[in-house]
Amino acid sequence: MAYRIVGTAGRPDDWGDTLRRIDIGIGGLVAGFGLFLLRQALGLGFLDRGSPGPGFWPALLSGALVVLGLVLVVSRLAGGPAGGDFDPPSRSGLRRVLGVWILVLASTLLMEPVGFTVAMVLLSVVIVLVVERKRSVFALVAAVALPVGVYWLFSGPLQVSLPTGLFGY
Amino acid sequence: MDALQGLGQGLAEALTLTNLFWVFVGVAAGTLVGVLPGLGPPSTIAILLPLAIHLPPAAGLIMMSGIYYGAKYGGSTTSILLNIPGESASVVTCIDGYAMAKKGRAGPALGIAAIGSFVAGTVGVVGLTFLAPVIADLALHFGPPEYFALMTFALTTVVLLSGESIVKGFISTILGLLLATVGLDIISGRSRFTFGRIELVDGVEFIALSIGIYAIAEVLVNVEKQAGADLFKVPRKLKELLPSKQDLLDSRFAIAQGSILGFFIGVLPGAGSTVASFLSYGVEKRFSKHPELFGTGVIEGVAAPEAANNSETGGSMIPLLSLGIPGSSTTAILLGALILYGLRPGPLLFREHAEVVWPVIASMYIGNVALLILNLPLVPVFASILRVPYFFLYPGIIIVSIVGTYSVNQQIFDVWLLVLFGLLGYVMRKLDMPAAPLVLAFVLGPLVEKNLRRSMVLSDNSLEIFFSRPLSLVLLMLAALTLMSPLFSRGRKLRKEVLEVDE
Repeated sequence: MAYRIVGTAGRPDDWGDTLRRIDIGIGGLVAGFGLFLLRQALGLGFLDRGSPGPGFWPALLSGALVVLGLVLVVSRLAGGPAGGDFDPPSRSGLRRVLGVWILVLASTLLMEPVGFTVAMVLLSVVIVLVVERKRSVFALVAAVALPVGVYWLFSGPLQVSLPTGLFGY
Repeated sequence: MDALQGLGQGLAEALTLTNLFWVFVGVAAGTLVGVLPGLGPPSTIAILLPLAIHLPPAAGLIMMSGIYYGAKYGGSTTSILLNIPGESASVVTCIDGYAMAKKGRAGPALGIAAIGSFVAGTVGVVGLTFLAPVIADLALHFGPPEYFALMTFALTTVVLLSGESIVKGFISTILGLLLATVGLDIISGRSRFTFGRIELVDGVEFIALSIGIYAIAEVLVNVEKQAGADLFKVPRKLKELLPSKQDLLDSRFAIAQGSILGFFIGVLPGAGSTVASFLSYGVEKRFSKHPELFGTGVIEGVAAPEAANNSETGGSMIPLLSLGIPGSSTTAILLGALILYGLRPGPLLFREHAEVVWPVIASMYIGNVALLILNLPLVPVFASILRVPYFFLYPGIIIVSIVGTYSVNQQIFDVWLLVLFGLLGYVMRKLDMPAAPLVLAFVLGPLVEKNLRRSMVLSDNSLEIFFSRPLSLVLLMLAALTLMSPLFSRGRKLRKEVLEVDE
């Protein structure tokens, strides 16, 4: 009777290398961020008249973050298996994601100057007509009706005061 | 008056047409508002308090009990259908509930949430009826070291939510704990990590964090994949839109476990339904025969946290009614309502105002039934939301998320945070870093820190206080066992995967 090592995840070695490199990058970033936060936390005061001060807990956590980041780096450098799945985005996928995210960012920027309703109508119309390319009258009507309906529900029965901006709604 | 006698009289009072009407109004209003992100039970009760206060005390409190249950169920609806957690306790329902919706099983998920809520809510109220004095006494033994130990135990369950990489799970947890430190330190009054922004003095808004990390991130992931119209499969046949007999059988232990755990966690002031739902999910996964399936859409992953979430309601009433200590923000509002009615919660409440207290407890039974009657038939209606093509649905999700986040504090800064956390959540998904530990740690972080520092002050900076008190020691040992459990299961899995017999 003999035993054969199969491998922990059954994935090709180059994919494992990619995951490993990504995890090393994440570990380094996390450790660096932890060091930055640790410096801030120690400035708040670790102890205050002999008792834990405002920086006590954040310093402990930041220190833990540095340690965990280094553990991740070392474990991957030592050739440990990169667990989990990495699903890399395609270029077009990444463009779509960034496009939608920037649209949401822009609509947030516009909310106070032009009002909630106009900002959200612009957001939904651009997403439906430009990003998703659904160019029909029904699509346009639905894209306008949705934010108007939401505005009515929240500002009316629920009495939530939403930004009205230049146009008053 | 003994409990059974009191309950009988309470039921007689609660089962009048007027009070039944107010229960149904409360449950309906609570469900409708609870569905909206940013408006959980505390906000809903606060909004309707001016109306309820004009009713007689029993009717007003009965209505508010209905709102409480309705809002809890409403929060789970959007968690399951759209991955938008309506409140902190609904976050863990997103994990398996939304996964079930994507597999075309939104109906059974919603159905089991309603049924589990009904069973667990009933267990919680039964516990409240008969165990209130005993349990209230036990709760008095929980001091800062015990609370710290309990929260540590809850945090260690993140190990079970970490998936393949435990180190990444811990990184996510620490990030959540660090985010919770942003704002004013409650003990010294110094501001931490606010970077000069006045909007951060009160800390990071939970709704912005949770909706960003879950709902917005999910939208971005689906946009990347060009999900198109067919993201969700929604069955047409009615029987596929409700839980099957097998679903009910599979969920029975999860509902039982969630009911009991949720009730006892609810008794502890400050612990709350979030802790109850996360712990229940973690325990269910830990003892499941197929823990690797959790997160892919298993019905136990919905049943357990939903049961715990609702059973906690009964438990949280015990410190409120018996000791006058509100256990959560919702019961704090209920305490305010009791005082406005001229009632003084505490050990004498049952004796001096039995005519108000017992109808309120009885109405909680009725509220559970009303929840089931109103919401189970609506499951196919709710599930049909998923028939909307995704390229129309996701702009709607974004808009509702924005308005829900803004409505909490009515400041645009929270929406900026939502957008930022949305991107963070997307990046975490792509890098296989679990989000659930971050959100859980964010909720528990202030409680952990507060109780750690208080314990250190009590013990003159000695850690012995955590090990010399029996309850605290037991909870810390459970935490240690939970931390070590993946090593045992990983060892077994490694032996199975790595070795193969060649003959």
